[in-house]
Amino acid sequence: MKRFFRSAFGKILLYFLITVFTILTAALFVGMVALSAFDAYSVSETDFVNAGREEWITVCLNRLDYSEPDLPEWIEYEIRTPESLGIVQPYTSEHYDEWENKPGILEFSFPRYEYCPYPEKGEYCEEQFVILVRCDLSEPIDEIDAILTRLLSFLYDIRYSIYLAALASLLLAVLFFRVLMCVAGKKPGTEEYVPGPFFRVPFELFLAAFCVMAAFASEMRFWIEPSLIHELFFAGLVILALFECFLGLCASFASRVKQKALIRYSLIGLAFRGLRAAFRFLWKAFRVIPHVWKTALFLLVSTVVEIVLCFGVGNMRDATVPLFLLWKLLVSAPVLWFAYSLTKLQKAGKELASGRFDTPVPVTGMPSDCRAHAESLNGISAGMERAVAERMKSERMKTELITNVSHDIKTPLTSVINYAMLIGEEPTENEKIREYASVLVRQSEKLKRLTEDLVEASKAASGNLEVLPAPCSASTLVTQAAGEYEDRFAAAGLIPVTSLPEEDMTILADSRRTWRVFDNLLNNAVKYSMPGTRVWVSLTREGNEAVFSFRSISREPLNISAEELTERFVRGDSSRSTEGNGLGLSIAKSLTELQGGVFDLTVDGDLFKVTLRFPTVNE
Amino acid sequence: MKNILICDDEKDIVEALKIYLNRPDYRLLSAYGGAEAIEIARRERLDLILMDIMMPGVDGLTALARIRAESDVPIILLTAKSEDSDKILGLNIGADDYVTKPFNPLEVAARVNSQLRRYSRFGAEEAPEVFRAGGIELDDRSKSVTADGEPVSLTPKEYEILRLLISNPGKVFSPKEIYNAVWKETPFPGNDNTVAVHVRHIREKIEIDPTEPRYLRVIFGQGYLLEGDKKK
Repeated sequence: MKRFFRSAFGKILLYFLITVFTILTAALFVGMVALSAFDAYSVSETDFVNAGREEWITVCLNRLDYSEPDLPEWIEYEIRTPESLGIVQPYTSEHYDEWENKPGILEFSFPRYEYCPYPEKGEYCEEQFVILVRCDLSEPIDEIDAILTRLLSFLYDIRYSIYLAALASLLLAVLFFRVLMCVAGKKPGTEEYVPGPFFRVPFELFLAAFCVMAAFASEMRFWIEPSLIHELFFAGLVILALFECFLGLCASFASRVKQKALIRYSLIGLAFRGLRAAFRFLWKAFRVIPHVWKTALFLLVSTVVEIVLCFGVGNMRDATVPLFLLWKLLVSAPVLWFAYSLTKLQKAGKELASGRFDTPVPVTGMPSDCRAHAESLNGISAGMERAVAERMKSERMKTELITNVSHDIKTPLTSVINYAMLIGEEPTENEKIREYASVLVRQSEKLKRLTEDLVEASKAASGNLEVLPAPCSASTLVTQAAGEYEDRFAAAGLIPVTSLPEEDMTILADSRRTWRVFDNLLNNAVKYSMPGTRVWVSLTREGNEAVFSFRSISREPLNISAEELTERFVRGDSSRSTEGNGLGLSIAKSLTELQGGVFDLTVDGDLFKVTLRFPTVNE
Repeated sequence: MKNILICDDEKDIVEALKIYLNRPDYRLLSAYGGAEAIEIARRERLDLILMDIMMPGVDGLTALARIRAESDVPIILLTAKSEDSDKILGLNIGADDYVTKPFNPLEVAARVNSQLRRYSRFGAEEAPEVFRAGGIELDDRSKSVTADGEPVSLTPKEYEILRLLISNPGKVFSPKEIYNAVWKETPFPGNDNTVAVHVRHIREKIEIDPTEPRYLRVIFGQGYLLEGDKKK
């Protein structure tokens, strides 16, 4: 149903139905007026019909020309002229007297100013004369009368039910109008509003067009007059056309209101928006003007206003104007000086906010209040500069410390490793010595890796690491890494799965650092994954980014958050029973970020997932 | 008889190296400071020097520069500094190779062998079918490969890959190029890591430490290359 009325055909049908019921309602109201005007509830049907017909017959009689010889057969008349003309004897038609007591005869009398019906007098009557007409109404006088007779008798028949019918008809008209308002602006099959082709034409234009049309139509009625019937018919057509236009206007209005576009697409809205844009432009223009000019402009305008006001009130003499202007100039100078100093302060504040601490505000030539503020700003800037420098220094010292300590550790470690190996190689009966030696070798190797990782982690985190980016093929990274690790995956009982996009991508990366990142991540997968599970390494393109993702299933439950995992010295297993020093992810993250990539780690149950995003470059 | 000088301020390290390099044809000399090393280098006819960088007094780099000014003897640096800049500096001053501490003594021994062999053979004419890069030697006539003097057995595909790389030392080959040249067909698109696995296997055979390769290097994201000889 909804769908049907939203279609073009349904809408046309709605227009039609509204029109029909409106006309019907109008007709029924006319009928009701007629019924009460002609006393339908107290007289007989014949009297009612005749009372109604009389109206029409009166119109017809009025239109007759009584000087014509061949008048209709149903008329006999007598013309009485005033006595002042000197003619006492009235003019009487042939059977006028005979009809006096004939049944079904109605008498009319009406005054007329017309030229004299006495041809022999040959002059115009200037006075009123009266025409008495006797009409034989036993037969319909013409076709309209016949229709009228039938209509009136029908009206008499329904004189009680007509109220109900009128009400029903009115309700139906209103109902269909309501439906039309509801479907206005909608199309079948969607709840969205679909703007019509003239949606953007301002509503006022339609309204104005309608008003012009209505005014034109009301003038037009008087142009046409071949006959009364034609006139009525034509007037009906015009009213009908206007009514349909009115419905269209209503529908358009409803559609606009529903889409909240009445103001937007109207002349008022247009004017409002134009004004607002102009105001905003002026406001913006005013804001970009430097402080000093703004202040000067303000002073100028206020001075002009003051002068105009003073002259308007009229108690300022011409002689005082120069004096007044001089005073104004004197006042303006310090105000402008203040504004200029403020501008300088503002600029300095902005510099400070954007992190440039090396441009002090010149404090000379400022009012003392501003100068105090400028000195504070300079103080802040100096303090910040010092703090940043100290921070950098401490970061550098930290890295240096770690590097030096690790160098110092390495030398004795070399001896430890060498002699542990030598012990292992000494021929001995005692198997335990061999075993202990191998533990020494293994643990000192671990210590060696730890010192190296420590240096790398501290350098990577402080950005103290040289990065030499070169164009790299993203797919090659994955296949090379997978190839390097194939045997180790097999040894750990893991199944590597790599997936690559059809089209290769080029990223800018430092080959060695990127390998370190992949190495650490795959190493993690080998060390911590549940045997028998798959390790996914996939490469996808997301917009302008190459996205590497590493997914594996952890052997131990990961009872630790993703954020903590990338902290230094944190391992997935809180017991620290397995190998590894907890620096791998931290190094991988720092190295990725050093190369302009994004490192993202998520833990979802036992699923451990790392994504690396690198911007792609065009070759 | 080869004369080898070991110079480190840590006596323990010198002793350990002496044990590992203990071979009948090596005569091992030791020095515990830069000045001493320079003096020995002037006095003795040396075939190789192992030199620590961080030493009190005259440090390794200074000693290296002094010795290099007078002699072409191969010098291997032993250093605790693992930064690139230190390695580059050492090689630029005139070192032939470097080993970072803490080192694997077997690796040091291998490098010593490699340097000695190269030094003695330096300048000798060779057949065009024999390719050499660092301590790797590939003889195309006998299809044999040796690494630091030790024979290495490679599968045919591994041999082909190594031959391709060694005949163009210093050039980076992408996995696809290697596949095209060795398998003589285009790799099927997508995740084919055959080449990567083969290269890994070769590395395990010819390198002392496959994770820190000296010869067959992985240029991650680009391909593989075989280091060319620095002296050529």
